[in-house]
Amino acid sequence: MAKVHNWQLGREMAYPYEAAFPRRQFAFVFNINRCIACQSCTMACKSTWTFSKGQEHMWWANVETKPYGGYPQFWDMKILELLEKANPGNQNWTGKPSDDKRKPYGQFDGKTIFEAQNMLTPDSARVLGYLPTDEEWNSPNIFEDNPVGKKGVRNQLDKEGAALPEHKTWFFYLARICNHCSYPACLAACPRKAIYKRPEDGIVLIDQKECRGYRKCVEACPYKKTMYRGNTRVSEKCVACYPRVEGKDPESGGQPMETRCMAACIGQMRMQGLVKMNNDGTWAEDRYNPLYYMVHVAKVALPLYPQFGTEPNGYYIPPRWVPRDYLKQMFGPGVDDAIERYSYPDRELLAVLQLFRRSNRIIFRYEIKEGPQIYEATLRGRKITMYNDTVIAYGQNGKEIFRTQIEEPVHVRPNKHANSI
Amino acid sequence: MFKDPDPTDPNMLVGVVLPADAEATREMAYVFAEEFARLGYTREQLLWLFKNPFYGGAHGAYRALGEKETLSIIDECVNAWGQAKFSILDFGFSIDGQKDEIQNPHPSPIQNPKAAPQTKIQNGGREE
Repeated sequence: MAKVHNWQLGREMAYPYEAAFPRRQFAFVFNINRCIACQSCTMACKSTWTFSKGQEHMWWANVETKPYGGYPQFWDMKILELLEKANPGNQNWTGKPSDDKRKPYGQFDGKTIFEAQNMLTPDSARVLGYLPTDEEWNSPNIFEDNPVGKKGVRNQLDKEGAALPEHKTWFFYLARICNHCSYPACLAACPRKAIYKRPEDGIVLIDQKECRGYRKCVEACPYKKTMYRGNTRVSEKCVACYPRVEGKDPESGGQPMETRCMAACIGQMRMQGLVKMNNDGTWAEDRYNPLYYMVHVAKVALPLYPQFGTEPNGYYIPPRWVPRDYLKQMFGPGVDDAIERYSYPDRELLAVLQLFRRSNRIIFRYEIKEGPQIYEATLRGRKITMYNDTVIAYGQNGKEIFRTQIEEPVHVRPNKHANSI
Repeated sequence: MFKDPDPTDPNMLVGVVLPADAEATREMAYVFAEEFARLGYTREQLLWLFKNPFYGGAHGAYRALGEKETLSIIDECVNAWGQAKFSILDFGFSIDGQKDEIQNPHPSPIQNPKAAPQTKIQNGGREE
């Protein structure tokens, strides 16, 4: 196996292929604090890509209730268990979060799915993984928020559902799509080399003509975001709505647009972009790109299960109310700092948070024009100061997409549309 | 196909209570109230969000804390974050080759006529 640098782990790791990085990388930030599991993203994806026969069980975008929900069921528990079994007691981080972009979260000293593969599986396996059962795939969100029938009564909801026992516990909603990883496990595992990562935007796709449905990718992806389709006998996965990202959607006006699941988010908790990459796989300095700012400057957004080793490009602002041990297992050592910064956001972070879902077009740069202080208030004993800053978002072509501010600007309707209401 | 949860399955966390103190519920209620106050929700709209059983997280907190405490949290958050409304000037897409400005294409996020008086889109989401 080749040696590649995984900046999320802060070290070199083994990977079946030499490192190769795209010019820009598809990446996204989800703010879990805002997600109310309305499933608008899930249905937007379903109605766009997976509405056909044979795709009934496929949810490229899904929202699951953590800690006890999952699609497929127990996906994260099962791979964490396998890793722990392969390397018992040693799946640990050392060091501390720092400003070093090659190891911003310290160093992961445990085994990744690429390094633990020879401990539990045959030598021929390239990645440690497992194949979920049909039962685990076919019931997303089962037992989560919805009541089921009375014990022993089939196909009938309990007529007194509100009286069902309810567990008083913490939980949160985890929205997921394919992470379009920098070191994709699906790509590493495919014996046909049918999976590829596009050099222009890092989107990971399955070549449907090359795939023979061996399901090695399904077995290998630790996030379980490649899925097998029985009636075509090939595997499929999230395509990152690439026509929109390419600016080829008729609505896009030729400019890159965010995916369907992002655009549909009513909680305004999703932002997607294309970040610049260095030759060594780290993110190139791009100070006023909102994703770069949230991941590398404010450090409020963290990768999902970085210890798997695939360098996922989905980042999450962790939920503030959840026990820290659980969050550290899920998002790595940066959790405490991220939650502290997010709970009491500074002026710039507040401004950047205003960029979420104001437009469907991809933001490549933002600019803040500082305005006067509007008011001060107190929240839970801490002082909050609000400014009337104007936040301006720019697209790929350098043109302004939108601007947001607190006081309403005067708008003079052009003569052409004077009576168009 | 229906299959009863197997209590001996270590992965089957359904039915297993994970420890959570009252503070976790209160913190969750604060977060939802803060986030949606920042998005421009009014006191009435926020209370509607908490009272609506469809939103399991917020509604669970509402039932655990009661209306009085939920309202107290909402008031604190609206006071801190909800005093200002954000307006958006969207430059939209090119129409006939001419840049066209569309003001505030995002109407008030909750479309519940009982919850709050409807605001005019042209007014930047502000109530009159």
